[in-house]
Amino acid sequence: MTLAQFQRALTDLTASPALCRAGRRDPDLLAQLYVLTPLEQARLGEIVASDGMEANCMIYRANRLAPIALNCPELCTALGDNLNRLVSAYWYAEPTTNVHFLVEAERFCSFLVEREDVPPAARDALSREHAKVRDRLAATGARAGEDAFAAARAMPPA
Amino acid sequence: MASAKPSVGLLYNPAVPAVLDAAGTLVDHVEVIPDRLWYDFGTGAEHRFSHAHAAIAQLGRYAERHAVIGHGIGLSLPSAMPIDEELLDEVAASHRHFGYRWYSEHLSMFLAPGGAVPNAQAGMGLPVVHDAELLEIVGRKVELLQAVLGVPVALENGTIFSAVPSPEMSEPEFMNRLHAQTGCKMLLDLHNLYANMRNLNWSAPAYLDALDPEIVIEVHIAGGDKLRGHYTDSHSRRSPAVVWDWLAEWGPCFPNLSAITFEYHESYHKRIGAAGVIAELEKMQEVADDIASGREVGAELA
Repeated sequence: MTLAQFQRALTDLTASPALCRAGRRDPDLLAQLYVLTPLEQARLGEIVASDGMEANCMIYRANRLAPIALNCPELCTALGDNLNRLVSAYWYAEPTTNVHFLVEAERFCSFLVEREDVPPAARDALSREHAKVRDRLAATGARAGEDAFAAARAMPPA
Repeated sequence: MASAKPSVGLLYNPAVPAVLDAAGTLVDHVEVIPDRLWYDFGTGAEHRFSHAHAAIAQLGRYAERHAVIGHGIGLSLPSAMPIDEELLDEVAASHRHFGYRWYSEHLSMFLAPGGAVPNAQAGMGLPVVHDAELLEIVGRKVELLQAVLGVPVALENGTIFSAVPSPEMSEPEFMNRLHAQTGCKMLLDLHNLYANMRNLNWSAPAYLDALDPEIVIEVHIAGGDKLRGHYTDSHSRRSPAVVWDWLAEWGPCFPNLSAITFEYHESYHKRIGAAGVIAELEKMQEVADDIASGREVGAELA
């Protein structure tokens, strides 16, 4: 099924401005990376060359950055020029976005805790805001294994 | 027999309870994104879904006084992959708990098979190919959803920055055919249409002319921001004047329009302000009254 490959190519392009640039330079590249019909290859060629692809890439990054920027503002400031490098490394390691801002922020903090290349000046902010995020996450009342819909599940189907 | 007046409501977010407490009589329904009622740790996790008990309990209290509509973002019906059955079970359980009037998803791709963005649920819906193959994929999943939930299912038009060239059919034609084949309704997001008009030079009147007005069950309104020459559906402001004009002009043309919903993101609550949200609700109620006055008394709605 080539539609699946087309969709995968489009999402890969959205997550990677570098792949977009490479695809613009070499129109045959996408056909080498994905199994595409000639029509799908032509469609992707037009999409990757469009202004809208730049917007897709920006919004993808903005959407992934928002949970971190909103929940860890001091950390982002303290990371300074290192932020771009470290969030890019995080997104590469964790390609799955989580819809919950606190979960996404907690995962980023946990990712940084394990790394040795976080500037020492940012360690305090990381520690402080990581703890704050964990506290706020705990306050949401999410409890593994406790089914809030147990009674509803026992009801007969619609 | 339902009221001839479309209900007016808000997309539920953590800031909405303050609005409901201050101006609950202006709100007929709350629309909930079920995916925000749990933490999804992914397939294979020991406890994949960890319920946000506080949010569920809070929403439950408001559901006693307001109708609830389900509006999902996670099932990604256009993706060329099987539907996520565990997630579908969770959506169905949330429906049984809250009793959604109907349930909607998006005509956008949020998941891709094996791609680098396997779950871009942060709002990055990507454009889809409007062709017969996709119609078949989406149609099968819509029929499954309808059977599992037992309520109407609707699909929302998305914001598109890079339209797929050379489609077999237009988006309205795709929606019309999907409705003809499955009974699927449409959630017409006027702000998404506005964004597509600004970004892609779409003609909104031509879009509406091509759309079967019978299929529109709900309308979304919202506001957005400019981002380096592009206009985004960021849910960050009150609805622009053009969107209000369209709602006033076209709302009465949709005989089955049953709900008007304002969407905003909680991170912009301070910018919009509770007074701003309430002003939106008051205008929505006025439009809903105008629509009702143009309908025959006792007209049966969804």
